[in-house]
Amino acid sequence: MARPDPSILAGVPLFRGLDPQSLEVVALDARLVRAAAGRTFFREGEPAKVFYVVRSGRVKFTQISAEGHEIILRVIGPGEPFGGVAALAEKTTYPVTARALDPCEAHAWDGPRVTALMHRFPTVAINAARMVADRLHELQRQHHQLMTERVERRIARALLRLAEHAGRRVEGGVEIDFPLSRQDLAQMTGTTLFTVSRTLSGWEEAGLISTGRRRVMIRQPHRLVRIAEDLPT
Amino acid sequence: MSDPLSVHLTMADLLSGWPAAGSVLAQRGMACVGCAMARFETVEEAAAAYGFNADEFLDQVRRAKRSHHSRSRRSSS
Repeated sequence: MARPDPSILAGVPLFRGLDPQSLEVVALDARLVRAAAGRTFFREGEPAKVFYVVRSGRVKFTQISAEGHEIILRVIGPGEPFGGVAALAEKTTYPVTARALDPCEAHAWDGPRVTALMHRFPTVAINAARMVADRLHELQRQHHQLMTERVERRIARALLRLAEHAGRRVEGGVEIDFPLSRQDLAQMTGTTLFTVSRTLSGWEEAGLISTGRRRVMIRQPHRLVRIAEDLPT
Repeated sequence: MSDPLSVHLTMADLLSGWPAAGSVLAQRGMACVGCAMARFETVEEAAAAYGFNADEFLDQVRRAKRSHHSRSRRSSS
């Protein structure tokens, strides 16, 4: 029966830093799963129960997008782990579908086995905590970016609405023909003065608008519309 | 009769006078239909902003208008 090669396991983030004897123990706990090309290891939304490391072949990850298309996220090969969520959380589901791209072999550990390994080898538990922390950090970064984009869209929409209502064609752009402070814009868009100032300054630097005292002129209407409508640039 | 289609029309006037222009704009991935800025921007300015040839675009609008007309004649006969 094909036990995992400890040198392969040493490269798996969850088992990083374990000494050779400990890696032997980890290897003894694994079972081997074979999958014909095209067979799924698990589907998006199924309970996450097993953690895998590819022994041979390639595994493809897919997800169904908001528009209903299947999108390929990543393809991995020998030595790379997948289904890690099963090792980290007790009751959760797989976020992606994993399918064998060619005939595959993978080492597999059931969730409780991984928990037992964490009890026995604190290094494994520390590695798991670091993986979760890294993932959280990445999500916070993405969340911040998303929120920033949403606020920018709201501010762009507010400026366009104001221009529609009270815009005046002037040399070099469309001027909003009434006094408008950054505080007014912050109130209109439910954000802070700081965010409005930072956003407007960014747009001014990029040449989209120009601002004066309680005055805003849209210099590049098309680019502002692209931001407001979330269109590709 | 002189052709009133001109690069100096605003996008809003183009869209109200030549509704077929809406589908031409949509095909080109432009968000002018219903846009708050359409009444401020001329065809020429939009062409410059989106990087296309304004005269070619107007030709396309003329062709779209003709095919639109021939379709409506067929359906009314």
